[in-house]
Amino acid sequence: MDKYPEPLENLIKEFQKLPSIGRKTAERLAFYLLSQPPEAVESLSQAIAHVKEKIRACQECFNFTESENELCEICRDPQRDRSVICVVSHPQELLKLEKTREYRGLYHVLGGLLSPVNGIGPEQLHIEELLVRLSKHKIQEVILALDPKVEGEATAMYLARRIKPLGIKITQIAHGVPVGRDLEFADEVTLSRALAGRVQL
Amino acid sequence: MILKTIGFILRAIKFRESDLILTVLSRDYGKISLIAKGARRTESKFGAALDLLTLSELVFYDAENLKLLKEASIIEDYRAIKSDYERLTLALHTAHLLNQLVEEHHPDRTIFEFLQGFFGELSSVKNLELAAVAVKLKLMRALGIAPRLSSCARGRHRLTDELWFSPQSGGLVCAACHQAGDTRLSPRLAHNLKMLLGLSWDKLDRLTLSEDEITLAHRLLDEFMGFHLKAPHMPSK
Repeated sequence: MDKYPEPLENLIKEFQKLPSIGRKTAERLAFYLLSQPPEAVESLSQAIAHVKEKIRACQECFNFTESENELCEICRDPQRDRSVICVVSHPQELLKLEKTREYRGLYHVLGGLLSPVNGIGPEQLHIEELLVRLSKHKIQEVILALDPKVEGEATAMYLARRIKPLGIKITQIAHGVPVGRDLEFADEVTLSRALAGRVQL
Repeated sequence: MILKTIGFILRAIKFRESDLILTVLSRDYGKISLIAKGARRTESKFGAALDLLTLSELVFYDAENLKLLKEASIIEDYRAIKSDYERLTLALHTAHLLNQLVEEHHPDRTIFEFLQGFFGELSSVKNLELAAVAVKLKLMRALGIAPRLSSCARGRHRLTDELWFSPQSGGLVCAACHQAGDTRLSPRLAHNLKMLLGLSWDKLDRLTLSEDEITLAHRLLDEFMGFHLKAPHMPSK
């Protein structure tokens, strides 16, 4: 026998298609599933099928929402501050911001960052939809919460250029030294950003 | 073995949960790939030293099939480029082009110095459209394959005012040698291409090219690079 039975081989090949999973890890995952009771495997299989079937993008902000709702939980919430929109690149970052419990406004998920070299231009992102939202509703502030790296900065500069003519206040989350770290180990670029964004006590 | 060099971060690909695979144009070892473990974490020790286009000092373990980054510190961040959308876009395209054209593990100081020189001057270049054409010409010269612009690339004849361009033959072609498929271009554009190749970055603004001439120049140079370097994808600017 030079390979596993077909169903097992198929499962290994499917696992191998996942990011960062090589043949050995794929085999390990497949053997683990084989060792599990049928109901555990069934539960996993249903979760995979349902995520594709039931999760879609919110019509307003492009956050994840369940298929029976056009709008996500945040866009439907009447308690949210509808005068502020925080722009993020992916829903995962939105969730991180929600966990802070510091922000009660709305969001807009771009779906990525501008990356000219990877062929990701403004038309590949939900930028036009953001501009439509800004012109339709009474938005007073747009907060840019994008990765503090080249692609994030390029996206922030592009958005600022498009939003400024609408007369809406644009802010960016502070960049600087992570909490709980020693200043001694911060690099000069991070420190200079931290200095530029200093606050009065 | 532990090695140390300085290099430009050309590309960063997400790898595993929080790692990056970096493509670096290094001064001493040419283009290399490095694994930076934990580089995507907020508390990463590498900080901003691994941001694209940054020139950093890099210390890495060099095993047979793996180069693992140990330390990185910023030498030049090129803040003036990164805070200007058009300049940043041109710098990113240049890094991308260079990444496509340069093979790994072929140390070449000329190419490193080309990029260092360009990034050093980019913040003060006024005409970015011209600079985008000059980048392609100067990079090809650094790679040793600049198009022939002073005499006929096909028959080595002296050039007159009737000119064509042939990527396959390697540059300008005279009236006596031109063939079907060559692209006709004006003596003014041919002259300006030659000038762009020779002028330093701070003197580019002495030249003017129309929008049509710039479009044609990009097309011809892209065809030239595509033919001679088999580049799979070439951005137009």
